[in-house]
Amino acid sequence: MSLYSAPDAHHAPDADVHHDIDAHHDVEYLPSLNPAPSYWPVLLTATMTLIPAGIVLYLWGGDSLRLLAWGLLGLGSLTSLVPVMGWCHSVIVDKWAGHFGEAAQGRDLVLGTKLFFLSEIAIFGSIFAYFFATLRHIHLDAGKFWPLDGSPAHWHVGLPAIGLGILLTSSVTCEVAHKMLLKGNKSACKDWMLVTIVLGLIFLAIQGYEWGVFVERGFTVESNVFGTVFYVLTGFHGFHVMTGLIMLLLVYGRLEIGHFSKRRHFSMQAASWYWHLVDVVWVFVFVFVYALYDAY
Amino acid sequence: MSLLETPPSSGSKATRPAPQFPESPHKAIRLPGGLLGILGSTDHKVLGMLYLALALAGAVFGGAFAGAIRAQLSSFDNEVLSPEFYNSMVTMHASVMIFVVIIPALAGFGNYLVPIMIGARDMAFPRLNAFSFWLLIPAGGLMAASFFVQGGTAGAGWTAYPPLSLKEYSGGPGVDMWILAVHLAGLSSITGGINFIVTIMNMRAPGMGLMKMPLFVWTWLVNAWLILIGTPVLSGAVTMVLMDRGFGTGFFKPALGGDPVLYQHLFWFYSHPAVYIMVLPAFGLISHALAAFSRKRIFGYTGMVWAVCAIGLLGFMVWGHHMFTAGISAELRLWFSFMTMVIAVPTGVKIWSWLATVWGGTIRFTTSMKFALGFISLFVIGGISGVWLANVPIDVQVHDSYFVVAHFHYVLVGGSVMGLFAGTYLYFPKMSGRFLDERIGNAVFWLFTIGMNTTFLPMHLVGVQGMARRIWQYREEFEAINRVISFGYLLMAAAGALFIYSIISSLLKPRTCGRDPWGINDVQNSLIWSIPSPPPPYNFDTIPVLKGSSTTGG
Ligand SMILES: [Cu+2]
Repeated sequence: MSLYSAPDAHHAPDADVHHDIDAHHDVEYLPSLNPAPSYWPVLLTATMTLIPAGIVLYLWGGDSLRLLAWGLLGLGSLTSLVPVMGWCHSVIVDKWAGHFGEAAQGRDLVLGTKLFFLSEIAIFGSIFAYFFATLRHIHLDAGKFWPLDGSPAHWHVGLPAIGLGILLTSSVTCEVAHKMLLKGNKSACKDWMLVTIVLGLIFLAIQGYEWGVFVERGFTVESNVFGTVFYVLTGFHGFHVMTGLIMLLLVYGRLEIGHFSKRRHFSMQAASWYWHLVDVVWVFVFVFVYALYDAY
Repeated sequence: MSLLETPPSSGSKATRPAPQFPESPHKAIRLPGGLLGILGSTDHKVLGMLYLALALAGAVFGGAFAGAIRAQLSSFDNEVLSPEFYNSMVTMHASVMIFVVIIPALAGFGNYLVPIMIGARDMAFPRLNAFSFWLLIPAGGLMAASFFVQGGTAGAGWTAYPPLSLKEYSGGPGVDMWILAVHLAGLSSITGGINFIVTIMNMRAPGMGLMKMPLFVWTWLVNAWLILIGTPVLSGAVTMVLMDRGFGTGFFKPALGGDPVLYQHLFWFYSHPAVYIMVLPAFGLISHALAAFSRKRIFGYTGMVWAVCAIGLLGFMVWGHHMFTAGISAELRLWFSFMTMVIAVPTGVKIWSWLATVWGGTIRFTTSMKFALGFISLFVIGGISGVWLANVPIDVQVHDSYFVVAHFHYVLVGGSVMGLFAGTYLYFPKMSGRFLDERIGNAVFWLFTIGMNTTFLPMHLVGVQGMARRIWQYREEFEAINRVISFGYLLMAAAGALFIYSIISSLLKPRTCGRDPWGINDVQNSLIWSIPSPPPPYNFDTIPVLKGSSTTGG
């Protein structure tokens, strides 16, 4: 039984014909989309479910099931890529076929992407809110800020400052890549995109190195609340850098295939916005967590 | 007066050549009907009904958990449930009712009605819409699975305050699974919220300005903003608990310098607005029901819109009223107390506008109208006890007592659930092409309303006398009243069973409804009553063009 069907004419007495909306206008206003049925969303929820299952198993399965937990996490992440790719493919195909009116769909995607960024800002906001509130209550309780016992006595901001410079530069190169595409110089666009990706990778390497040094010196999430918020904030940011890099890589791949043109490159635009967002978050992390460390 | 005008043939800015829809590449994929067709559906009407069906199924479970609570509390030294299982029942009753029943049910009505009401063929992102719905299945599945793990399901309350929710006091995977379920439900809410905002901002039919949208659409627009800004903060807060439990972090561990009270701030930053997330669309539903069965348009539309916006904005400034006893400073108490009382002002604007909508109308006491009027009466009771609780001295006295339980059940059951009933009886003919039986509806209404008041009114009394919530046994002197409360639960359960029976028996009958089953469109002149019941795929053959007259009636 289908969930709906057109009502049977005999069972649908229309007392109010003067409200007839089915008048056959020959002009279509806002081209509105006719949704294509798709299995990708339901498939994605199914594969994604492996990830929480893996987390539960990781936390509670003990050493014997640790391998299986990692397996579930890996499998969930990898198999999720299939519906994600399929879904993106449908969106691209729909846009190319011009189903819903290019302008209207582009407008929807732009607004939707911006709203998604807003929710990202809200998540980072919750961690920053935690950070500032903790600063305040530690000052009230202990009469001092960092360093708590177990934190580094001083913070050498050299390395993270280099990281900041690299990320900011990568934002610029990303914009240059965009400009090149607008100029129609596709190979230069590709080159600048590659530079952006390499800079992002260098940033991640610096962060990884820094983490390694700290962990070796015994400063971990378990040291104190500063260790907690430091690792979670930088780790969550690093996760976003990684996500951004995957997006940029996909964009690079599509540049290679030749998908984008001066007029049509929404996903490149969205990926670069995302990259800028990640950079701005890092400015905040750098200023409040690193640079002001000795000043607190 | 017709809703539609023939579009001008030339010269107007709005006129564009009809876009040629090329052959869809998806035409090659023929979806099978039945279950497989539903799995792949991206139709907002199918998804809306799936949301509603899920909510109804969830209500059976959430209601059963409430039954377990009431069975345990029916005598003072009962041992039907173990204390741990009682805590689990309290936790899961709240979690299921919030995340699997009320929020999805309102999302269901939103999904079904919003695109039609704004003259669109679907949501802006139909695939994302399907994703939002299907995410709720693993969310509910995780909650259900947690019943079968060692240590049982989460028992730290739906608020999951640390340190109670940390490993020392909540061993076993229950709380972790609950947190992950909240993540999935939260992701569903956020993606849904994005979809609603884009749909409402971008896809309104020509001529439908923002101030011409039906009120239900407005309530969903504000609701979507609350979801978008609030839900990520909840995700952040519960993630911190998850990390504290499993990964050694010290967010809420005083030994490491963390502060458990910060969790409460983050949690209530979402969870107070969540109260409005659960009630704003119900405001919209009853606005339409009241107007429809008074044969009038909504009174004070502009004021109503601004009141909804004000409630949404103020909702983010009052979370501390849940924390008056948590040791927050006097200045903060003053601020949160004052702001909470300020919310009563826009709420009052709404209540008086609803009364003025009914005033002087040609009133028909259909089931939907009864539930809408019941909503006003009961929501006012919950609202007034809310103003009491906004007073710090009173709140300190009755905090964590059954007075608070009574208050929020008057808001959520008397408000949200009554609104959902009113909406169901109003729009069921539109969705299915069939009426719900009004005689059964009458019984459902009276059973539910009497049962609801029998359950929750006496809770004020035992609460003021000092009966604490979330405790499995209580002092002997409260037993008589608790017996009455448990009896009230039976009435509500009977109403629920009758309601489900009514829906199933109606669905088995042939379709009889025309476009305007309630015969109100000559007054209201709105899109939803202008298309067949049920609406055809894609709703509109051509996108409607609205004349100058407002569509705020229904
Ligand atoms: Cu509140």
